[in-house]
Amino acid sequence: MIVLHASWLEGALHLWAERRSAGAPARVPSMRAAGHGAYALSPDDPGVEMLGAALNRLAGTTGHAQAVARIAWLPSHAGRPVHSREVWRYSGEAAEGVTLAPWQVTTLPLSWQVQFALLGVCHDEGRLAGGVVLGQDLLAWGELFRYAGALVARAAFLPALAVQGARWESCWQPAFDGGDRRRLYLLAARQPAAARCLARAGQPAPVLSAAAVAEAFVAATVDRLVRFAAVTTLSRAHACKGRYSSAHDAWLAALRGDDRLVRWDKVEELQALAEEIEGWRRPVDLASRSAGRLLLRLEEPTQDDPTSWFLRYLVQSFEQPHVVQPLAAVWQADASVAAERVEFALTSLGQAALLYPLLGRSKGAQATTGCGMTTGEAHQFLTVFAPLLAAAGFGVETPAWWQGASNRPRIELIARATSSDTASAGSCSLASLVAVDWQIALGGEAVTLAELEELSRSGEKLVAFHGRWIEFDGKQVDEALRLWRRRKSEARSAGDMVRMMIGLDQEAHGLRVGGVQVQGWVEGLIGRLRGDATITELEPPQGFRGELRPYQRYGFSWLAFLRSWKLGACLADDMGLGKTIQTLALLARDQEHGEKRPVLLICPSSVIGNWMREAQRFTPDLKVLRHHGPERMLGELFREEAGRHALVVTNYALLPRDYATLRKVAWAGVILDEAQNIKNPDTRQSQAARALAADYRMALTGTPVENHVGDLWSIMDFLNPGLLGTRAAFRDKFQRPIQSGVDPAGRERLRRATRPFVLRRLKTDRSVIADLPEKLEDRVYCPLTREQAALYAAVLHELETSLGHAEGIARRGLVLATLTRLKQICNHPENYAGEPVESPRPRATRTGAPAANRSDGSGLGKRSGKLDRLGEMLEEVVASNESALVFTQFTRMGTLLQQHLAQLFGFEPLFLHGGVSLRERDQMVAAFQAGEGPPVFILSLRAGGTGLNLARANHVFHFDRWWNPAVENQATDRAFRIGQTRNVMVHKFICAGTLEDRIDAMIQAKSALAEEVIGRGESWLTELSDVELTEALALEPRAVLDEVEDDPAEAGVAVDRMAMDLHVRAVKNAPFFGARPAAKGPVRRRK
Amino acid sequence: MSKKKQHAPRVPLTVTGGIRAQAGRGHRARHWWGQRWIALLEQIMPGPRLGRGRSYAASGQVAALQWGAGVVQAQVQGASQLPYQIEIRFRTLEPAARQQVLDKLHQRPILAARLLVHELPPEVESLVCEAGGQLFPERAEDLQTDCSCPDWSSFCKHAAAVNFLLAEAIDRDPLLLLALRGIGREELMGGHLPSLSAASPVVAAAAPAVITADPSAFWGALTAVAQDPDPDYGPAPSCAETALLVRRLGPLPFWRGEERFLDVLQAIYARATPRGWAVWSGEPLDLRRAGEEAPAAAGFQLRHRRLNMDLTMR
Repeated sequence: MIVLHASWLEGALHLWAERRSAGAPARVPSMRAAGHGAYALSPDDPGVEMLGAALNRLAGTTGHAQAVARIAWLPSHAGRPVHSREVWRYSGEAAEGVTLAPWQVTTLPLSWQVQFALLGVCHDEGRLAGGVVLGQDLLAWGELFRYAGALVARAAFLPALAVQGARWESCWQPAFDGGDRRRLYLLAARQPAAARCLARAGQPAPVLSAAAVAEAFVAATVDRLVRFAAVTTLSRAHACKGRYSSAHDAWLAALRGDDRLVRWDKVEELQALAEEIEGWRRPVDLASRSAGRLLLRLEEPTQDDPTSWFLRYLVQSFEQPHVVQPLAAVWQADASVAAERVEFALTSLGQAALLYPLLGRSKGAQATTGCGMTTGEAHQFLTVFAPLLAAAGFGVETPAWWQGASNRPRIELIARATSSDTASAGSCSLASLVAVDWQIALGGEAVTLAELEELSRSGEKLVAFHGRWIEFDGKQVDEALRLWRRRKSEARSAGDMVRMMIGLDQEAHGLRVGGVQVQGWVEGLIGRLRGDATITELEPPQGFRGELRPYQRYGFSWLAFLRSWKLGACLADDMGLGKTIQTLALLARDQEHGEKRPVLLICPSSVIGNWMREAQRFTPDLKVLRHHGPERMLGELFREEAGRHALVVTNYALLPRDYATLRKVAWAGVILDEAQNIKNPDTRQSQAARALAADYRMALTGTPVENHVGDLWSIMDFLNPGLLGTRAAFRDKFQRPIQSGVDPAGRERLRRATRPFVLRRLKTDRSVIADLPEKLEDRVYCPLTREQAALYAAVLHELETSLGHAEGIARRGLVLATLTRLKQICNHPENYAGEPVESPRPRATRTGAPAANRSDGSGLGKRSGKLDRLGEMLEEVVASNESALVFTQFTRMGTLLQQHLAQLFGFEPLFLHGGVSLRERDQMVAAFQAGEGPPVFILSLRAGGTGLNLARANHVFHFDRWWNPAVENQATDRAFRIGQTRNVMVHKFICAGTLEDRIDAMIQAKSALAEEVIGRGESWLTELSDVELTEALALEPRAVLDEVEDDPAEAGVAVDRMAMDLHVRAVKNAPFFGARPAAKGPVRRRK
Repeated sequence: MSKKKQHAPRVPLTVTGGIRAQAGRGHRARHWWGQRWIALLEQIMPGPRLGRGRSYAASGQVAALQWGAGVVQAQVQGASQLPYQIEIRFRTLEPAARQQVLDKLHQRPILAARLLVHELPPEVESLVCEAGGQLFPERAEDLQTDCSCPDWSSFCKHAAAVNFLLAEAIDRDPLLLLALRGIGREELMGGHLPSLSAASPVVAAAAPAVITADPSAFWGALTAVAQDPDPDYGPAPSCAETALLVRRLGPLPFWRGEERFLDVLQAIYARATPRGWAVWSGEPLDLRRAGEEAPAAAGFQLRHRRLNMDLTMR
């Protein structure tokens, strides 16, 4: 794991890093390691090659970066710098021994191109694949970078001319208004000190203001961004030419060149130009230096004079927005008021008057306090000028009833849909028509015809109606009158009603649809989607062998409800709440209702085994086909075979690969497990999933998908194509406004639109908690990789050959050693050997990174089914802000886990093993319990099995099994200590089809054999006969994971077909969720 | 002054970097106060001379121009080797009258406010007249012009050229009209114009400090950004106009460049703002479009040669 940092030094950003070898003892630096003079090389310094490689991986380039050694002043303790990921060790009292000390580090000064490329990707959670982690300082630089982008997007920048020594430079400067300056300082305050810790040798610890550094960075970035856009090949040549007819030309050319230098040698002319520019910019510079701004407040008429409105001039402080004072006070006060403030106040007022000419009208006593206006003018101010003035940076305060455009009272339509009661849900679809009556309402109240007519006559746009001011649009009143007089109901599809209800279709007859009222069968649809009618709870189907908890029964009924309307459903329950069995219950129900067609289930390879087992356990009558492995059927053969099954299970890698085969089957439904796998709509998996035709669709996921706007589109488009519009429309309507933070209401609109199709229950929900036992156990069945299987077979073979010759103690020793080895292999090949063994097929490395350095955890992924599954599950745990304990009985495995998880998550999990000192142990436990440390705690079963209180965790993973339930339970109880308020999920990892699987089955069956022997640890296994033993240890061939190598050439064939299907599906769905242009043609083929 | 007539019009010598009228040929002033100045010129000058003056102004024959209370001085390059010296004098307000105007402006701050943002409320002219002064020149006598050229008339083409530039500057900022009469920005603001080059009072508040040794403040808590993932970047631009700021400021006064200042700037703003949007919303920025020397990923793969460590402490 390498943690990247960037620090500001002498006007440039320098990249440097800390390396952390998990589990490796801290190297105490000696003076011999020192590079130069008295400065010791930081023991965490990754060296130039790793630093360059990390930069290259993120930014795709290193530019021409030349590494240089610099001094970083780092908090240090006990002769080494405090690592940024170990801050938890030094909280509270422990921080007292920490001092700042200079260390030599390798830095890469970043060119602006590399800086742009790097900061452009620094806006995620800070963890990126491949063991490169972003420090908080780098994330904060990323925020400042985006802020500079926001300034440029708002065109808040101006050209300037400045002299640096003897060098005259042109530059593009950010033009902050007071609000922007405040935002800048808030962003600067988020930047940790690490961003300013670099210095040159011989200098003291840097003394810098965070705000000044942030401003310098933003100024440099704005200049580069604008230049980047302004420079053309021609202008670049022009800027270098150096032959101009005036200083003005030289300046204008330099503004469009790569170099800031103004090539003009008459200094006095440049001086004069600089003064001219300064005078020209003066109004803007005044504003940027002001601590407040002009605030215009519209005041309602009083009772006495119901037509006279007043616009008051005030000055509002940026620092404390609630502090306002009359504008007149600024210049009517004595000379103590700074001239700059007077000039600013007058300039602001003048600028406001430019935008809103009425301001200049007032005379006499009112002239300095504000200006009066009529009702008509007030309306014009509210609708036209208030937004204009606000956009120009002025403060505008409107009456409370005007704020919040969406809930402002106005003329609305209420759609009253009536439909027959008799029709059963089966015979109706989203395309079925219902009769809609439009009712006219005003601010939620129904209006009479007389009232409408009166409004129409008055002609005013702002009317006091029933004691409150309401805005009218004459056209709308007329529209409403016409609609009223016509009084005819019209036919609309149920799909239309759904769109109106969730707020995606808000216009009808030129009026806003403010509400939907329904009757009859359509009420069953709309009311339930909206959540005000409860979903009829269904009886669990006959063929379902198991118990559905109440919330699961609800979930199953919800799925069945949406399925009956052919609407896509996303079941996003927390991990462990039983998404699988709710789905299986639905499948069983469909079978009982005569569904003959199969259902396709797509999931990650690591959970295929789990699905097979759960289906076997809960719905044994359901015929399940596993479409997996090299011997899988294809083409017509598959189509026939699939038709004989109820459920076909396959994985994401095969989906695009076998697309041509899969699309031939008439699927009843398509279900995606771990649906976040298709969140990127550009991947072939995602395209294939969305292109498959089926009657209904379901997505299962445990990660809170609704929090990631960008990820939502693909999943929703799979579920209900067209619901959120095209990708481009979605980006403009939701993604950009929400992600740039300019439209906070956008998130709510999006949630409202998707809420009916997403069901997410948390373990902490009151309704769920009551249904759950304190401790929920599940078994997680994982496949073996080919590498693991080969090792397993080799060890078994060895045992078989030597078993015949061994007797007594020798035999026992042999058996126990073999057991240990097999368990190690099930964990991870590295756990067994510590050295990779030649595998039959070259293994796919995730990143293509060199496998040379194993101590940092690279190259561990994709080699163990268990490890990969653990990563997936922990990802959900971490994403939901929960925490977990991971138990293993092998210290070596604990170290591997720590390295791998550090790579995956960017934080290093705690690891408690026999070698940890008592003091460190207490520190770890305290940090974990206080929520300061990483949310994952690895414990070796021996060291951590007893005595500790780790109640913060609500997930317990047993990565390998101790065949003694008592020992395991004791470990699990760490999370059950006093203070546990939540339910605890216990996940026991088992490699399917191996000894783990069979022994677990024995223990579960509580066979007589197990009953009497398990009390004695694992030695009972040695007493099995040779035959029994071989049976127990044998490896089922089906347990092996089929690794699919992505072959682009082969898969490309399916792509065109996929695109075609996507298109067809979009067109077909248009009547339900409209709004998808049909003329666009197939999606372009990806290269 | 020679009375010898020029039979063939002599071609004026070319000036490099002269002041250029930005309005272009045939364009009139945009505001009534600029138009009124030009209307007076048209009234008092014969047509052909006016035309020559206009093209002098457009092609940058005015090499220099300074102005102060009551006077405008300029150098205009004609056909002779040395540029002609020209001076136009205006009657300034008497001190008492000046104070009266300032007092009146003080009572109605909106007037001063509009002047500061380059607008001339009509009331200002009446205020000046009430105090016994004059804001616009009304007749030929109000423009006392002196030119070193051999032209017998005091309204030579050189005077016309200077007047055109003056009209354009006034059109942009009518405060110049008042300044010529003795009320400049400084007087308007009470006699003192603060310099904006000093550090802003707002910036001064953020004092530099030694970086902290506390580990969690130094590195930032692990979850700081996760806890508040959406910092405030400010409002979205709601107006289609991209160069609002420059539009509001207008062109630079007495522009000497060959290209038109506002045109160049507007083109740059139009190209820059979409880039800003892309950065803001976190979209990938394609650096390759920036030009030929931007890094194309392939050419910039990590090479050990390029990353040779330079350990000299600088």
